[in-house]
Amino acid sequence: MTKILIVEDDPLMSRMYQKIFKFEGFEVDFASNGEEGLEKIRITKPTLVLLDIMMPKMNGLEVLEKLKLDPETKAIPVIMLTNLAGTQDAEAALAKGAVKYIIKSENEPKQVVNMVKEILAGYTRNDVPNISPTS
Amino acid sequence: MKLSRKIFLIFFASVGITLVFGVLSALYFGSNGVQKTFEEKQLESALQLIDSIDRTMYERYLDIESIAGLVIFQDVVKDKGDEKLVKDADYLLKKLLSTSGPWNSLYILNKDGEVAVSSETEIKENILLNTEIKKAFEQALEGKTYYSDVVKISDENTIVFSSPIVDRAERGKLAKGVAIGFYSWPVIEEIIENIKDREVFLINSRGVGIYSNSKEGENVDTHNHQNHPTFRKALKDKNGVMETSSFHGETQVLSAYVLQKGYLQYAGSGWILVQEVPMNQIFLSVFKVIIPILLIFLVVIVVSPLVLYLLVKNKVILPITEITKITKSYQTGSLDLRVKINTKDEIGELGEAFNSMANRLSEIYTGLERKIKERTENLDRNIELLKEKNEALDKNKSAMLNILEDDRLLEEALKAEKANVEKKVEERTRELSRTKARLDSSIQNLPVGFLMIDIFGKLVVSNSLANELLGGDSDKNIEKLKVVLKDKIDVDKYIKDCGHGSSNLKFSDIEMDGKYFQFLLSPIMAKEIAESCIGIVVLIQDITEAKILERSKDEFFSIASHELRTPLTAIRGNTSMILEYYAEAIKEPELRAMVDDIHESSIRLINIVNDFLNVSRLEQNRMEFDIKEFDLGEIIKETLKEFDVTGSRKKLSLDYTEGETKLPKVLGDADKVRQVLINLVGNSLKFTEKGGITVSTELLDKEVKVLVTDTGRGISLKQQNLLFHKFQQAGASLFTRDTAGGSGLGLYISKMMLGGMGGEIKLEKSEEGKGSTFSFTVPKA
Repeated sequence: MTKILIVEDDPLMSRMYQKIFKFEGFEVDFASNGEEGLEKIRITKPTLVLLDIMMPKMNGLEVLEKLKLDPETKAIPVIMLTNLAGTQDAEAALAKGAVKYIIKSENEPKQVVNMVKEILAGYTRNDVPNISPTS
Repeated sequence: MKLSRKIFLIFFASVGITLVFGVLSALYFGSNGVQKTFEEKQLESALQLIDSIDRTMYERYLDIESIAGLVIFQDVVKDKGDEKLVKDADYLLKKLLSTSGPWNSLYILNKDGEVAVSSETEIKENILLNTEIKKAFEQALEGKTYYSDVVKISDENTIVFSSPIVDRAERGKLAKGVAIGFYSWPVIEEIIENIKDREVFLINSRGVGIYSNSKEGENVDTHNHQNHPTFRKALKDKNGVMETSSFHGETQVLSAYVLQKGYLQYAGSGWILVQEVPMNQIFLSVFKVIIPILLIFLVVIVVSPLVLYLLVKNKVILPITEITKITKSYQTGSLDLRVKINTKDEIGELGEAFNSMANRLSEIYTGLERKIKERTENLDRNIELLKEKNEALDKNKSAMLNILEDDRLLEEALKAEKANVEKKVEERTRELSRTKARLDSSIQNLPVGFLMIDIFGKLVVSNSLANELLGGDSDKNIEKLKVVLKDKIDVDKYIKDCGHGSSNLKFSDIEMDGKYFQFLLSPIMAKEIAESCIGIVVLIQDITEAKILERSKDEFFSIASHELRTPLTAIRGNTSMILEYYAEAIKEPELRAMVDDIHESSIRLINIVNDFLNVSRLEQNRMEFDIKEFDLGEIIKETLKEFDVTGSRKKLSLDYTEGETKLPKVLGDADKVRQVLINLVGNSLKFTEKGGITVSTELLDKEVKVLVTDTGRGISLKQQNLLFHKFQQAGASLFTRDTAGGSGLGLYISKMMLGGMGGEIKLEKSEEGKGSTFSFTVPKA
């Protein structure tokens, strides 16, 4: 079963995305800060990671950087999920190897799921490019 | 330098120059001339040589004719019966025939070719078997005297001569017989061999060597020289001289060539005689001629200037030296000496003139002495007069003393005035120090650091805050200032230049000991002083607090953006999930409508938050623009697709009228253009009840214009003025704001965004009840 890891500190957001992915039949796990997220990714090897940027302990961009340095985890596709609206953050994330950059407030949960499905259809686990195509 | 030496040097130089030119020209013209003469001589001797050969041959020609004649004579006297004459003729003939001399052998043949008489004791059976002899026989039988080229008979070189024996009375008839002689070739050889000083080659008309006196190898004699340049030149020019390679090798030679010319009836066989003299031998002979000439030349040009020099020295320089010596003696005061020059030339005249001048001088000198004596007497008289005058002056002195008394009174008055002025100055000084104290206190109490530095870089004054900030006093402060500002400005240079060109400078964000400061530098100009600039002032302001404030404002926007939108996103997400996955649970239409409203409200709230944040960013120039080339047509099409007009309850149309020409690429932030378009189309949809919205484009000079036309309610003239302002929906007042939903910031944001891309938004036209057209422009790429 496809396993999605949601790394998100805000319980409101975390719960919402957990729900929608469960509704859509995904196996869902979550972490509520960067450090925990990194740990869970290393242990559970999820199919795809939804990663928030503003988080305590370790921010999303740092987590992404560490993931991409580790040969064990660098092939896991990562989608940045945030409410920061600056294009600089989007560019920084994509340059660091994120597959997509989604602004939470601009997308319905269902749209987020659709994007994830689209990405999973496009790439297998071993075939994730370092720099993703633009959306 | 002495005149004599100068003259000697001039002579020496002219001799040198003449010598060099003389030698060079002598060598050049001499060698050319001598070579020419040499060539002529060569040609001459060659001509003489061939001529002597020709003459010898001609003698043989005459010989053979006279022998033939003698035979006839013998016949004639035989016929007449004169015994004595017959005997004589017989004797003569025999003698002739027996003479070896220039002939090898002589034959008298009858017309049948049989030998009648011969110089040979043993006669071969038939001498006509030899083709050369046969040819000579036949030619003579025809009536002509004949001679051959050099031919070989019995292995010996010879020339065959033949002459017909014809009776004079029977002239015109066939000859009775033929006289034939073989010329003894060594005679020619001897002629050539006798020439010792040059090499001679005799060549026949076909270029084959006949004979040569050359010692350079035997084969030269008979070698074929057909292609040798000398031979070819001789065939062409007959006579001449040329420089070429020798007949027997590579040696360069001067070659004189002559073509055989013949002598009277002997026309010759076309031989060519060539004389060769090696070139180096020519040069030797040239030198032999030139060197004696050069020696004479040398002697003449060396000796004649020397003679000239001696002449000049005796006749000119010595007299001048004498005059000089005497002139010098005059300087000592004695005018007795006179010049002794007896020549009648210019120097003589000079001597005479000098002597007469000396006489005149001596006269003037004695005159002068007399005059001095007279003047001295005059002076003595004058001194007497002066003494008298002095006495008169002494009397005047007492009168002067009275005047001095008046001066003393004046001085006292001045003293009193001076005391008065000093008092005034004291008052002013006190006033000044009060002013200074006030100024000092203001400077000390300034909320900013204050430094004043003179033009020599010395600290004039600094307040305590400046000392505190820079952590020292006087010169230490200035050093610290230089270090802190070293990345921005050379403080020393600023101080030095302050009078001209430098102006007030401001440096913000200078970090110093972990805090942020703003530095202001300004020259102090004093109008009353000529130098004008008297130093600089530095103000230091702690801006750390302001900076922290500014940074927190920056952070506020991203945090607000994040924090406000997160709960709103949760509301929106959850309501949409309820609507989608719990449709069963909220079958009740009222409940469903309420959830719908919550969903829509959250969306609207998110949009309003976004608008507010955008306005803040735009107003503070913090909006990021990602300016790139893009296809405007594509953006319009994509954007319009996002509007779901068919599903709405109003049933409006939304069309994009593409222009006939393809739109050029434009330069801007595609995302922002999309937002502007969404705003305009959204507004039109909001205020249009029926009909529809048309988007079209128009190509301008430097930009592309996008027009959004609707058939909505239109905007009144009064309301039009309020468009594009913050919070101004085209409504009358705050309380009558249109509730169509929105922040009222859309057009304002659109205007600001386009401004950031170099575009413009405006209302093209609007008519109440009929509709409006809004337009915006984007620059072409």
